[in-house]
Amino acid sequence: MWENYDLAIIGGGPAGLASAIRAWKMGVESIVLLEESNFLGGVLPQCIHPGFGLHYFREDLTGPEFAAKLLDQLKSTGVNVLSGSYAEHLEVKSGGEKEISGYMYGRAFKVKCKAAICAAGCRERSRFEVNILGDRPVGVYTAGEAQTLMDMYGVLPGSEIVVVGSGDVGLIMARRFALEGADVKAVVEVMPYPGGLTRNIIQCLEDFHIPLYLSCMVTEIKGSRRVEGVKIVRVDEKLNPIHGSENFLKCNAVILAVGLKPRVELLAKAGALIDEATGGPVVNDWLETTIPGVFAAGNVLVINDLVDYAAEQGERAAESAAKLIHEGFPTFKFKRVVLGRNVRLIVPHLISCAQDVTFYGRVGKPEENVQVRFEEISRAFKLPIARPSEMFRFKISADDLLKMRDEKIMVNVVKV
Amino acid sequence: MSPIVKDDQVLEFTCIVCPMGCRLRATLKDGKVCSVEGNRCPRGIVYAQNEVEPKRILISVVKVSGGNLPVVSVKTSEPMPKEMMPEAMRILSNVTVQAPIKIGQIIIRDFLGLKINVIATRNVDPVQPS
Amino acid sequence: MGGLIRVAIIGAGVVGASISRVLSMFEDFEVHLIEREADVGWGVSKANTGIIHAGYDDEPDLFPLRAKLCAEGNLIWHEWVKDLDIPTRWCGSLVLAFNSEEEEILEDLLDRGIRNGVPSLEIIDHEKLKMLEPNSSENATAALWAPTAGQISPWDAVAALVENSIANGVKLHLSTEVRGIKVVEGRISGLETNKSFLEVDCVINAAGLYADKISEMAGVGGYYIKPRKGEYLIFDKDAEPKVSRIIFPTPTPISKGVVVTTTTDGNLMIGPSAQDLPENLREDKSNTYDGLKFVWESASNLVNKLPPRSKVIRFFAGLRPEPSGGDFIIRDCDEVFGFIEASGMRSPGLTSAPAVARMILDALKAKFDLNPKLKAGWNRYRRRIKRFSEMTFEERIKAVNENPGYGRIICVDELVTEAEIVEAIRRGATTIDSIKFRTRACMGTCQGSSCMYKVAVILARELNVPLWSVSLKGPGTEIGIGDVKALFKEFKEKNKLEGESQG
Repeated sequence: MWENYDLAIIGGGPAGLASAIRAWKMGVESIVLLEESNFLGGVLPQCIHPGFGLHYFREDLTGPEFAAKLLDQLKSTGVNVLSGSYAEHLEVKSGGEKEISGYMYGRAFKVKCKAAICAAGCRERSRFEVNILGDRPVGVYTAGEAQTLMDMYGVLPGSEIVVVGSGDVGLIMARRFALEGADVKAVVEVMPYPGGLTRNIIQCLEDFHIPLYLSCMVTEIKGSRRVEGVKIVRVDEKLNPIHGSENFLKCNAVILAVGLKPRVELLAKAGALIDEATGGPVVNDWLETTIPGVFAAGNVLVINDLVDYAAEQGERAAESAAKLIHEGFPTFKFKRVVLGRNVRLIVPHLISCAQDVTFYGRVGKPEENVQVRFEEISRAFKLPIARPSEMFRFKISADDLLKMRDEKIMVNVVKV
Repeated sequence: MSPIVKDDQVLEFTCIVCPMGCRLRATLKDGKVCSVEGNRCPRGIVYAQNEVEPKRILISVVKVSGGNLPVVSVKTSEPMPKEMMPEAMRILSNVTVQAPIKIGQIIIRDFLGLKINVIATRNVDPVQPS
Repeated sequence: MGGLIRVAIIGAGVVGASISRVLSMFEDFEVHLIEREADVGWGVSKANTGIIHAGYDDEPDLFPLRAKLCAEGNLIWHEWVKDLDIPTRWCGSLVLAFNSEEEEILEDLLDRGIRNGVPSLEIIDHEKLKMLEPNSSENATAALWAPTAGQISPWDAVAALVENSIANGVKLHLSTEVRGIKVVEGRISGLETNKSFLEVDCVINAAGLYADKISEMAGVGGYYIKPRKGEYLIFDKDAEPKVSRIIFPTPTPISKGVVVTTTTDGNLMIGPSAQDLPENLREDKSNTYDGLKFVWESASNLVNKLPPRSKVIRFFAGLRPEPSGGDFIIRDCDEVFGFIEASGMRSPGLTSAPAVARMILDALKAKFDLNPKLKAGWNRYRRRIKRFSEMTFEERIKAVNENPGYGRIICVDELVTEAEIVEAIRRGATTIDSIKFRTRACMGTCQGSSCMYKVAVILARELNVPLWSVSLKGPGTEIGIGDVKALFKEFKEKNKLEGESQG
C-alpha cells in the first residue's frame, strides 16, 4: 500500500519542477512529484506572454516555453510523476518520517518519505474578499481564471472588459483581451500608483490606448444575468471612497487581479506556523518550515513577482532536502529576521548564519532612493525605486552573517 | 503612441527593458537616434533606437483541430511593428492547426512579409480516444 | 388515463416540490411541475436561512395558517429528511433577551408556542444559555429554548423532493414560463407556456414572488406580493468561533431579525436584513453596503465573537414574498374551478411547506370528491449523491475502486470529485449552479475561481456542447460570449454586410 521515497514534492509548477530536477542532480534518487492537475507546469502553460526566464535561463521565454524547458530536464531524471493527484494529508511520524496521502484517478495513494517540499502555489482572491458588492451575475472572473478559459480552453469571457487591479497580471490580461478584439474599458487601481512594471504599463495599456484609473475603486457589479457594468468611485489618500464621485462603466465582463494567497492548507493542517505578512509558512534559511524536514518554495512560500525566483527557491529547497537526506541536519540556533521600517514582508524568517542567504522581501509603501539595511551586520543595498509590487532580492554571504552577535537581525528601508 | 520622427527633435519616453523604468530623452538626427540621456545603463540606448520604430513580440492563440486542447499558444519569432498587430490578429483568427503540434513548430512562415515566423509555444497532443 | 386529474404546479420551489411529492403518492393524479428557471429551487427557496422553525413565532389569532402550518411542518420535516436523505441538524434554536422588556416578549412567545402545540419550549436563564451555546452574548439575560428547531440545506431539500417526485412519475418542466392560464366556462382548461400548451384540470399556484401575477392570469387575484430583500454573509468552513445552536434576537412585529447559525455544511452564516423593495424590483438580489453593515452589527450583538471579516467567503441576498394580507394564501378558489392558491409563502414558508402540501391534497380531495389511492410502487425514499468529503478513508478507497472518477478531485476546497459531478449531471443538472448546489463544487474559499472551469469542462463533455456555451444558470448566463476568436467573426460579418450595401 505505502510507496517509499526519499523525497516527495507537492506541486508541479516552476518551483516544484525546479526542485525535482535539482534534487535529482544532487543525487537524490528516489523522488515522487505530486501534481494536482493533469499536466505539469502550474500556471506557466496559460501565461502565454513573454518575459519569463531572463534570470533563470538567461533567455526571454513565454510561460509555456519556460515550462517546456523544465520538462525537458525532468525527462532525463528518474523522478516519478503522479499527475492528477491531490495530496490531502501530510503527517510527520515519530521517527521524523513523513506520510502524504491523497487521491488520484482510480486510486488512493500513500507516500512515505524522508523529506518533503511543498510547492503548492497560490490561489487568487475573489470579489468577496475585496468586498465588491452589487449583483452576482456571470462574467466576473479572476485574471487567472480568464487566462485559463481563453488561452487553454479557447473561450472568450467577454467583449467589453473592466480589469480591477493594475498588477502585472491585470495589465497582461488587459492586453490579451485587447488583442482578441475586446474593448477594454479601463484598468482600475485603488492605489495612487500602478501595481505593475512600467514595461507592462506601456506595452499592455499605452500600446492599446487602455485607460488606467488610479485612486479608483470598483464598488459594485451590476447585471441580473450577465455583467452589465460596474460602479466606480474615486478614493482619497486613506483609500476611502469620495462621496459623489461615483461613475458607471458599461461592460460585460469584470476581470479581477486583486491579489494572490499562498495555498497553505496542507502545511497549516500539518501544523506548520504561518506568517501573517507573507501568508505562507515561516521558514529558516534552508527554506524549511517549522515542521522539520518539510520545506517550502515558490508562491506557497511567498508571492513572487518572477517565476525565476520561484524556480530558484525550488532549487534551494531541493539542496536542503538533499542535505537532510544524505547527511542529516546539524542543530542550529536560528536568529530571527525582524521587519523594520517600511518592510512589509521578508523571507526567510530565521537564519542559521551557517550559509549564504538570499532574502526576498517587499516594502510597505513606495519610496525612491532608499537603502535596504540589514542593521546588525551593517550591510546595505541601494534601491533607486522601491515599490510594494516589486520584490527585492539580496544575497548575503555567510561571512557577513557570521559577524552577527545579536539574536535577531533588523531589516529597515531608509531614505538616503 | 509611437513617437513621430523628426530630425533634431527630442523624444521622451520610458525605457521598459527592466523594472527601473528610466525616463529617456533621445535626440534624433537623420531619422536616427544620435544621443540618449536619462538612461541608467547601456541597454537604454538600444531601447531608444528601437523605440523610434516600436516593435513588439506578438502573442496570441490559434485554433487547433483534433487536439487535447482547442487552442495552441503562439508568438512571433521576432518583434514586429506595433502598428501591424491588428492586421496580424485578423490573420491569426482565420488559422486552424491540426494536432499534434510541437513547441517551436512554425505555424505561419514569413508572416505578413516581415521575414518572421509565427511559432507554437506549447505542445498540443492529439485528442485521446475516450 | 381518462380518470386521471391533470394537475400543474407552477413553481418548483420548496412549496411546489412538496406538493408534487405528496401528489406523486397517489394513482389519481398526473402531475406536472412547471419551473421558469433552468433548475429547481432557485427562487425564494435558494437564499434563506434554511431554518426549520419550531413554531412559536406566529400569533394564531392574527396569522392562523402560519401558526398552524409551521408547527405541523416542523413535525413532518423530521420524517421527510430521513426518507429523502436531506442534510439536517436538529440543533434547536435560542431567542435571546437582553433586558426585562425582551424577557416579557419571551413569555409571549412561550405562550404562543404552547397554543400552537410546540413541544418542549422552555425559558432559560443566562447560565443555562451559556451551557447550551457558549458563544452566545454575555449580555443576554434569558432565552427561549426551542429544541425542535433545526437547520436544513434548503437547496438539497428542493432537489430531494423533486428527484423523489420524478421517481414517482411527476413530469418536471424546466425553463418553462407560464404565459397564460386558459379558463373555459369557469374551469381551468390549460396552461400556455413559452414551450407549448399544456392541457390540465387543475392549477396550483406556488409561484413564489410572482404568485400574484399568476393568480391574475387565472382571473382570481385580489392580493399582491411585496418583495422583501434579505442579505447574508457566509464564513469559511474553518472560521471560528461558530455556534452550535440557531440564535435569534427577540423578534419585532415585522421580522424575526438577524440570525446567527451554522449551515448543515459547517459554514457560519449571518443574516438576513429586511428591506422592503418596490413591487417592480422582484429580481433585485444585490448586496449593499448598508444591508451587510446592518447584518454584521446585528449579528455581533448576539454572540461573544464573530470570526474576522476576512473570513467571509461570500455574501448574497434573497427575496421573500411578503403577501399583502400577512398570512399565507392557501385556498381552493371558487371563482375558477380547479385553481388553487399556495402562495404568499413568506417565513416560515420553508418550515410549513410539507404541511401546505397536505392541505392542498385535502383541498383536491374535497374539490374532486376523491378518495385517492396510494400507488402500489410508490417509493418513499431518495438517496442524495454520495459525497466523497463525508466518507471515511475506507469508504473512499472503496468508492475510488468502484468508480475511478471518485479519485479525481475537482474542487479542492470542498473535496468534490468528478464522479459526484457526473452523477449530478446524470440526475438532470445542466448548469454550473446546478452542480454547485448539488455537490458544493465552487462553494469553498475560492468561490469557483480555481474549479469553475473544471466543472464547465465536465459539463461540456457530458452534454456535448461547446465549452463557452456552458451556463452559470441557464440561457443568457453562458460563461463566454463565444470562442476566443468570436470578435473577429463579428468583424468579418460586419465588413461583409458593409461591402454588400455598398455594392
